[in-house]
Amino acid sequence: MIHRPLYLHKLARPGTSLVEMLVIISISTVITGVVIVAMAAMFRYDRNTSQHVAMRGELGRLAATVRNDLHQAISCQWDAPRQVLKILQPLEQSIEYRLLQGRWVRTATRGDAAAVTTAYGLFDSLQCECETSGARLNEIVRIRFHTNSADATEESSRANPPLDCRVVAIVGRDHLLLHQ
Amino acid sequence: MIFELVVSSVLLATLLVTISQVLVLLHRQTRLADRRFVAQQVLENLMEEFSGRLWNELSTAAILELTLPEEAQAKLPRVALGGEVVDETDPTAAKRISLRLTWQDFPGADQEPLVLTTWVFRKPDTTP
Repeated sequence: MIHRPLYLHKLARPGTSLVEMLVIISISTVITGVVIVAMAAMFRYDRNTSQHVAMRGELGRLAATVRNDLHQAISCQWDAPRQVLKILQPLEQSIEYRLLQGRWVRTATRGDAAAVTTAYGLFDSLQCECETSGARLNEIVRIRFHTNSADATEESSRANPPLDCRVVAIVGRDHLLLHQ
Repeated sequence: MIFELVVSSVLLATLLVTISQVLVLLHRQTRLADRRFVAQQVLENLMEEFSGRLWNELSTAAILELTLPEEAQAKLPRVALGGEVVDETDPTAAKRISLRLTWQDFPGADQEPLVLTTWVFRKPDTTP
């Protein structure tokens, strides 16, 4: 028979049973699962928010550019079926806004010579509405840019809130610097 | 075993509360930023229409008669529009138009003001 020394008896502790190990492992599993789900929700929310903020910024930039172009215009025409806004400016300069592959593209042309194109992107379903089909000098144009919220479900609306931006601009305002 | 259970529960509860608070905070900040964006657009559009009026129609009383668009009333809680038109003569005859939009983000919060100011100038031959 083997006798243990006395100090080993004092230091001896009961071992961990299999049931305790299973309980701890299951608790750890639950915690890990919850943390992973929560982190995934955070990352998803972060991605949606970043996209929303970026789209909002782009939309604001697009609205400001459209307003500036209309201020320098002499007339504008809105082609609703094709979603094309054409702005005529002095010196044979024309500017065209059109939806192209999910991006609103601004094309500035002077005569037939040169074209400058700027794209305003990140829009999946941005649509444009204009109250009038055309406007001349000193007339007011009302344009509405919005994402299509009619087809969106409640969940998708919560994840990506619909964007809505209205632009009111007086055609040719920069040519009428002084008030009458 | 009870001890491990309690510690795990406390850790889990702390983690969940922290994450949910962060999510709520982020959502609130996004909503506030959205409202400010809407307010900016509304104010710019109102200023565009108002400053395009005739010289004699530009007055503080005319600002009070402006009506807010439906989108502003729908998206900005307790929204109110104010402003003033101030006559200036230096360096030339002009009117300084200030439009102020206020709204309350949530009950008990301070009114959020947003002010947009522009100047319009009169033609020299126009009678005041």
